[in-house]
Amino acid sequence: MNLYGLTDSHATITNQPDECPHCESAFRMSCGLCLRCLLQAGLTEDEDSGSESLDTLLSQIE
Amino acid sequence: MNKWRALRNRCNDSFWACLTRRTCLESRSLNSAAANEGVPRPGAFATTRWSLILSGADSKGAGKETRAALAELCRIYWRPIFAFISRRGYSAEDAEDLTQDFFVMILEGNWLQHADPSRGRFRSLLLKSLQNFLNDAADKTYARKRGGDVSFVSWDAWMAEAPSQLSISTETLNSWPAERLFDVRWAATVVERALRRLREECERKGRLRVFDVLSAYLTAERDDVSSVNLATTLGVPQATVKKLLYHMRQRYRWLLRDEVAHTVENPADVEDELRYLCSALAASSE
Repeated sequence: MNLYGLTDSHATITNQPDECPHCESAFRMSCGLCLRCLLQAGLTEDEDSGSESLDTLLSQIE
Repeated sequence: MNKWRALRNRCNDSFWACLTRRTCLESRSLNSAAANEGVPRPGAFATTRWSLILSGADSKGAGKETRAALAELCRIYWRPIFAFISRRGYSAEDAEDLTQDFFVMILEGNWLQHADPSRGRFRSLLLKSLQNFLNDAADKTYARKRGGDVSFVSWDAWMAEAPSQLSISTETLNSWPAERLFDVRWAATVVERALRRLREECERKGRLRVFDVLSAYLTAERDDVSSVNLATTLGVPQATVKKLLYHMRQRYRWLLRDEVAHTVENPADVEDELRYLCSALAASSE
């Protein structure tokens, strides 16, 4: 079955799957990052980041 | 006139109002305190959309808030539904119509009351319902006139709102079973929403450039990151780059888990759901 023409994905279909060097999954986001690694990031241990947050840090940049 | 726009004009106003207000629930107070303060609070997913829906379904007739939460979840996760139906062999037009009809059944019927009381996750319940729905549709040979009676999805608006960022090979699209493509699309939707929220947070602070440069390193190994080059690109000290990247990863992690939390009844299920989605994408099972 040819699924070209899928309404929501015609711009994202690739001919060559680009395997991730870390997990070998072939699903990529348009930014180039591996979908599986991005999911895996949600499972990493939460380190203590102290009281400083991204929000605060972004405000402090000159 | 675009056929979906024409159909939309005929659809149920109250549902449409829920769907087209992009921040329908996002601006509500479900998790807004933690989400907007910028300070990650792991585990602080007290009330999720799905738990709100399930608690509302216990009462006789789902209330307005419950139905709005359900409509919002359907609006977010329409792509997995559409991908599943397409993979089952329907033409793009029929898949659009069936997606419409499925959502109408979910939102205008009493789906919640008939849903399995053991519930489970929104993803698995939706998939099971979709499989049943398609079996019924096949029995009827789907003889309805194209466009149906009611429109739920405004394809143009939805695609413009959140274009898919997933890159997928033709081989996968044509060979993977519908159930696995559903999971892939689901995983992509979760990740896309987390990334979009992270981007918007940086943009609100006037630091979109920081997101554009550093987001490419969200999953990079420490050795693969050249803080010297990134510091030059961003015009900030190396130490700042390291801090920014660290906190961006932390924030992304929190946003990702928050997105998943909205689809499970118990916040403790977030880890399991993430593991399930990771395994669905595993190369070894392709």
